[in-house]
Amino acid sequence: MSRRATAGLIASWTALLGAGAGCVEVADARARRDARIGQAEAAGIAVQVRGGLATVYELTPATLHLWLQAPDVTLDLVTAAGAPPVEIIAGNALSDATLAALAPVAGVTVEPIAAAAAPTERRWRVTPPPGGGASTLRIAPADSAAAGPWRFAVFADVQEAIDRVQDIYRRMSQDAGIRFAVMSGDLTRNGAPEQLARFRTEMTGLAFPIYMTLGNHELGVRDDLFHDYFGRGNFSFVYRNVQFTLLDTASATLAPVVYDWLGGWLIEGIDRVHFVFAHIPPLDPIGTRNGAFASRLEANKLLSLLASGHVDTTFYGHVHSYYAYSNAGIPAYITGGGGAIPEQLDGIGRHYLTVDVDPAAQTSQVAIVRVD
Amino acid sequence: MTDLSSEAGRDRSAVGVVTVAPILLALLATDAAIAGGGAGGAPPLPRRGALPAAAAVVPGVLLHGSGHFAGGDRPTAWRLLRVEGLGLGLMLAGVGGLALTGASQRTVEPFIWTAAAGGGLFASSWAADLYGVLAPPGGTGDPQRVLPGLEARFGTRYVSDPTLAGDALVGLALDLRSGRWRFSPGAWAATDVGSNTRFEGELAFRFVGPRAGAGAAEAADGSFFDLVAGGIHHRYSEDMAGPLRAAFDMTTFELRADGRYDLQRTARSLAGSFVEASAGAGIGAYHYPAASTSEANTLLLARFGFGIYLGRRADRWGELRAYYDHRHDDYAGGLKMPGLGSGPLGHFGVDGRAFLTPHWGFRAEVQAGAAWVAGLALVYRYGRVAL
Repeated sequence: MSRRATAGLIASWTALLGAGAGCVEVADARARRDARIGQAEAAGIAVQVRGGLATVYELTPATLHLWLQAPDVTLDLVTAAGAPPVEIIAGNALSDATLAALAPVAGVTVEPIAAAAAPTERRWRVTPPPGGGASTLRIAPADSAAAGPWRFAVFADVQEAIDRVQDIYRRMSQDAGIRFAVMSGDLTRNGAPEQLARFRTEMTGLAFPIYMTLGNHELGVRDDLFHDYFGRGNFSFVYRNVQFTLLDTASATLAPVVYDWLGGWLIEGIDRVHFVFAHIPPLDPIGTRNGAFASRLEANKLLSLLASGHVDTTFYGHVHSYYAYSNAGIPAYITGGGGAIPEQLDGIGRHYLTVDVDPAAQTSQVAIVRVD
Repeated sequence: MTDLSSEAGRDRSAVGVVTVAPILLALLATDAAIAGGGAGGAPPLPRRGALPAAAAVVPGVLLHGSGHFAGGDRPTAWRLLRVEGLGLGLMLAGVGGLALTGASQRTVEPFIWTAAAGGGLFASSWAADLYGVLAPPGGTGDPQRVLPGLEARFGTRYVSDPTLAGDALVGLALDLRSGRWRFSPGAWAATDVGSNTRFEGELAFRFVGPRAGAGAAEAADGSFFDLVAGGIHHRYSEDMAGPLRAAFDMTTFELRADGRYDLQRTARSLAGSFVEASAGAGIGAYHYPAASTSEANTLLLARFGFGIYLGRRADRWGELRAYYDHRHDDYAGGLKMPGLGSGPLGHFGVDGRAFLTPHWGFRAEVQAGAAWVAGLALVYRYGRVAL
């Protein structure tokens, strides 16, 4: 055969392969970014948020501005001797959250500040110990460990329908029982900074916070801009003895290190009611469509792992409709009704889910709430 | 080249009717539209040289057929351009349909198949243009017109998947052919930690195309049309932290149509090259020991490729092909990409096999999807072979 023909064909096929191949480690950089969330240092002051459950917007000797990704957040603050009072601003907080010093119990004074830019913004003036050193602070509502049933909401896939998202928020706000909402990604059309900022601004229409992970539509500009605005894509928290785990499946995979983190969260929540949220579902209930993980082997690995960790329910987005099904024996819901281009011919419009959970009875009930 | 027997001539006509319908329709439609063109018109071979080769790349990457046009084979050039246009149209129709319906579960399959067919035509028309101006006159090789009754492959695969264990595999696969029938069992097993084992089996009936057996008539060329029923059983287990364990098995049954169309039928310059297409669907039962449950899921199958034959002697023969495969349930899985698009697409691959003696050869492959897969196998064949 002609060497020219061989070289030409190999070159073109290599180009084809290379163009299509992409990268098998597309989520790794975001996981590495996750690991750095909640840590900051400035002149004479340093902060570390446990579990990365808040991102640090600003840290100066006089100001610590956080965006919370959980109702109950503990942080370690290290100050220099004679440091001035620090104004702590917590965005995306429960409106009844308070700040308390866990350590040292004496020597740290906390004073609430009334002024707030949104119902979910809380402010305190914290005077660190005169001698400086480490202080452990906790931002949490009084009912953080309360027993009894309670309710939260789940939604996803707002994307280009941001102009109409207040319809959803108004409907949610009519339900006084909702403690907070969880969003399974696709806040924006393509993840541009102005779109992320707009989503955050629109959240002021709600009296409760939204904890969220990212979707593939947050990856259109740069894949870790979400982290600047909202924090980690992979994280887990406990509220009222219910474990919440949010996973970044925006690239139709999990970063390998997240499997290690997930193992710890599953063990931590194995005796609790445990809900898992992600944007792209491991398996699409309509398999021929495959709005799902790139690899069914990985999808089934993840699902079998969740099953072995006794996860109670999984919630996804990505598919712009509503599906209730089972994955690895775990009840699963797709709730992509935030307003993005809807799946046609399904009779499902914009919607969100409410979840009533009774941690003591280890039961939960999911209901769909139609907005249109 | 082998002379065509009368049976082979009939075979050729039959292939022309049923093989890879969209591609054939596209080619025939363009033949009719070009005065003096078409396979029957025996257009001249394009001139070889730097100019046609360069033109096949720029502007050929956008205007398929540019290489043939620069080489003087204008009927083939226009035909390739029209195939490109049809491919683009089908891709737009498929992707547009998916967008308009929000990938509705009621309409998703035809739109994906349409988009895949369009992608195949689009990619193949460019590859054909490149091939036609780079390959030597007469092409790079001839197809097998009679296939061996037995082909056995023993080899190894390395799977670079950061999310799964069991990356070093060994495997054995057989193609047992008799007349129109083929039975192909195979197995892959991990040699390192964990279990990542896959058993595969296919039963295929060939409606037209090269067959196997001492008395098999020589086919007109390598074109074929098969109906294939297949089964896959994949087992995976991996110990995780504490009491956790990732373990599952997938059992899938599938039905699909496979076709190959030798491009010498459309232009002399394309002798020795072929396009392939495949479409079908599968249904799987996924079992999770941790939940003591099994659940059903479906799988859409679509594949297209472009390939070339290498060599004109049975004992020095091979073929090489590049392809897109929409499968998401094998070691390579679907594409993961930076940005928005991970998940829906399948994987790309290149594979080839070459025989260095009447019986022995090797097969090599590379696939790029959710994982990189590289494989090398020793191949043994037995039975009558004719080119």
